[in-house]
Amino acid sequence: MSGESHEPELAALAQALAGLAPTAGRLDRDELLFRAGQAALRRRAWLWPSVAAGLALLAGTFSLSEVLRPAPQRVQCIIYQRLEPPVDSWVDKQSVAQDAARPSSAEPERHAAPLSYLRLERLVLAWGVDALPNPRAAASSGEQDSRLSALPDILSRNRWFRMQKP
Amino acid sequence: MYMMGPEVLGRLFDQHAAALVLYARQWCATPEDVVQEALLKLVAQKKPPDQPVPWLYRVVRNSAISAARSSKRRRHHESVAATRAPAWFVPSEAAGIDSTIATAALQALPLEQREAIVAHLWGGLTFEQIGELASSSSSTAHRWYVTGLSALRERLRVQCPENPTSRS
Repeated sequence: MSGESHEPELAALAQALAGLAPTAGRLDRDELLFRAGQAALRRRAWLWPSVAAGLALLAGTFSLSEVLRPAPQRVQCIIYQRLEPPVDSWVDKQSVAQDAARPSSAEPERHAAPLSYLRLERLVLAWGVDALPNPRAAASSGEQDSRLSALPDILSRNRWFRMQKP
Repeated sequence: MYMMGPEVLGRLFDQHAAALVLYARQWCATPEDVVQEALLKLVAQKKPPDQPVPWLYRVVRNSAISAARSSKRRRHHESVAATRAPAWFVPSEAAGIDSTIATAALQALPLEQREAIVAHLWGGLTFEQIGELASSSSSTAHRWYVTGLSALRERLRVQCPENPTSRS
C-alpha cells in the first residue's frame, strides 16, 4: 500500500499487528458445516410439500365446485311420433279389396305379393338383408305356388259371393 | 440451483472466519452468530457473488450493525456478555505485540479507523473495497487507516525494525 510504503514505521507496526491471529471465538467449523447441510436440505424439502399442497388445493376446488354446482334443469320434451298402420293388415285389406273388385286380374299381383316392396322393406328393417328370400327358390317355387296360390283366390271369391248374397 | 460445496465453505471458514469475527466485533457483542449467519447466507445464494470475501464483509457489517441496534434494548445483557467476551487475538509472542494491549489499543480507536485497520490488515481488503463497505472513497478509507495506525503507534510504542517490509 502506498501509505505503508511511505511510512516505514507504520508499515512495521502494521506487519506486527498482522502477526496477531484473531480468534474465531465460539464459532465452530463443524457446526457451521452441519447447519449449512441442514439449510440445503430445508431448501430442497419445499418441493414435494408444495406439490402436495397444490394438488390438495386443486382437489378441494373441484369438490367445492361439485358441491356448489346447481342441480341440472329438467327439460320436458314432447316427441310426436308418427305411427304407421301395420303393413300386413294394410296389404291384406288392399288385397281383399282388389280381389273383390277385380277377381280375374288379381292373380299376378297376389302372386307377387310375398315379394312386394313393402314386405321386403319390412323384412330388411326387421331382420336385415339376410332375411331376404332367395330369388331362385322363389322363382322355382313360383310354379308350384301358382296352384296353391289359387286357393286363397278361390276362397276370396267365395267370400265375395257371400258378400253379394243378401 | 447453485450450491456451494462443503469444501469451498470450509476453505472460506479457515481463511476468513476469524478475521470476520474480529471485524464484526467492532459493532456487536455476538460476532460469531453474525459471521455464521453470513456464511450460511453465502451458501444459500442462488448465484454466487463475484467476490465472496468482500460480499461476506458487507453482510457481516450490515448484520453486526443491525445486531448492535437491536442489542440496545437489552443493554444489560450485552454488558454482561461483553465482560465474558473472548479475547480478540490468540495470545502469541511471535508477533512482538501483546494481544491484550493490542486489543485495548484497537478498542480505543474511533470506529471507522478500527474498521479500516481490521478490514485491511486481517481481512485483506483493498482500500477501494473498504471505501465501498463504508460508503466512502478509497482515499478516505486510506486516511482512516493511516490515522488509526498512527494512533496505535503512539499507544503501543512499537520499536520499528531496520528494514521493514511493506504488506501490500
